[in-house]
Amino acid sequence: MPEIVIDDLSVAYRERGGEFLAVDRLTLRVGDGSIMAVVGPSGAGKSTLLAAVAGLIEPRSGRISVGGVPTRPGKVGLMPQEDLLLPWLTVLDNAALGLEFGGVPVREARERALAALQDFGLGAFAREHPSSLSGGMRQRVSFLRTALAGQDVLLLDEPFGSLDALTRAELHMWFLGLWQAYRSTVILVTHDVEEAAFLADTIALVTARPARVLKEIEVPFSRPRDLSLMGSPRLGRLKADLLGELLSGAPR
Amino acid sequence: MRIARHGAPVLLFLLVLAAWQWLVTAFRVETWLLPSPIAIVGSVSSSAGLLGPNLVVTLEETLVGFFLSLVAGVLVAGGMHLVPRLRDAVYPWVIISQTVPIIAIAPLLVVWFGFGPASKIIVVVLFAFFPIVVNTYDGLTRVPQGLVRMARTFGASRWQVFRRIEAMWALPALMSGVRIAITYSVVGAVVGEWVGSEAGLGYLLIRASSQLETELLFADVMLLALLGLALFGLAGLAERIAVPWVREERMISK
Repeated sequence: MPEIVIDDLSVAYRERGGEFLAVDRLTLRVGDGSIMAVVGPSGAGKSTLLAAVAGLIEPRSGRISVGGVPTRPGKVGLMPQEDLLLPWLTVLDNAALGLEFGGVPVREARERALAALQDFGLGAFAREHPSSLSGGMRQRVSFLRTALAGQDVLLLDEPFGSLDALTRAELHMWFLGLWQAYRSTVILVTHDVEEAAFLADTIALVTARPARVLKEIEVPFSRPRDLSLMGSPRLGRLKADLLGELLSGAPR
Repeated sequence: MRIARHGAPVLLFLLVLAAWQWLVTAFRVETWLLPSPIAIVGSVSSSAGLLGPNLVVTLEETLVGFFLSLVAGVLVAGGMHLVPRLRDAVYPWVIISQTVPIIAIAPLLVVWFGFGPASKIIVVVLFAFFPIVVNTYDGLTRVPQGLVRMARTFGASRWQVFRRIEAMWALPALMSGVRIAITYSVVGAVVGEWVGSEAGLGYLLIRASSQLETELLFADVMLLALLGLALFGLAGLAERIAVPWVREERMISK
């Protein structure tokens, strides 16, 4: 499993003639098979950070390596807030799409996608179209599409953000199951400190535009984690600490 | 529900026909001025031998011209989308193809390409090409960038992005273009025949109107209207088969 190393990374983007710094000399190391949550205020340049790790945009300076080699498109899975399923394909074909784009023959891609759909409780929907699925179900298909593509690195850009609280809690558990099975290295971008504390091994608090690392925190909870952790005082304390750090570090 | 949906147009149609029939009989309008609906229907059956072959000619010109427009339109739109330089060079010509007064150049087309179907097919293409290019190109440019980005993170090539995502996304827009283009095609064929021809419903229109055969004229116009309706209906059917997901999404978002 690959380790992600982000070394002294700066990313700038152009807007209305000026150049703006979205990420400023950011250094992070995500251990193989672990989940790091990047938490910060909205619009903090976190999505830009993920796009750079995915190899979609060129950094101004610094290095990003995945498993010891420089990153490039097609190497890591990027999962945004919208499910981005194609309405004209069935759930099965949608789930197989990442594999197909990665060069796996159609037949084999479908077989592997069907097996994964069955393993993760979506087998009954394989022949349906995304329009007949609920938001949470669609997001699961999208997760599987990304995880299946064989990319041991998953970059999650607030994938739980648009779901209602109940669906989100359900999906958190489902996602942890998926992660246990694939053991990917994960960067989860979120502004929800509770979500970060529940899912991640380490949490990086970042400042708003440009994104700098404010503090890195080890999450002390053992795995596997279940819903009893969700309401526990331990999680409540960590959550309060995180919020305190964020509020004191980000003057407005 | 179903009866209400289909009942309203049928009822309106019958009312208009009845009013027409009544006006013509009550005021004793001369047949050469305005024939009654019953007389028109009678003329369709009595002149079937004349109308039938001419209908086939017009239908052929319409369909050949339409399919040429479809193929050319899709190729040009795809090329414009994939090669921005080509777009800049070609777009003005696409617009010119529509804005040039076809009535003015149609006689020249007849001089160049003769009285046969070729000149008519070119007029049809001049009418139908534009809505297909513009709709398809618009569809291609409106693909959500998130989808393209998603495909790229999976390592998709430019061609894969085009074929699997952009082309499919643009298909509903193309199908709306098709519905417009198919009705324009009928108009185009008649305009082409009007200017100079030896056969077709447009040719028959000129003959009927110069000889004051008003019943035949109306029978001809009625056939053209029905032809337009039928082709439009076929295009709608093709749309439902080609892009079923658009209908599904509409039903669900209701």
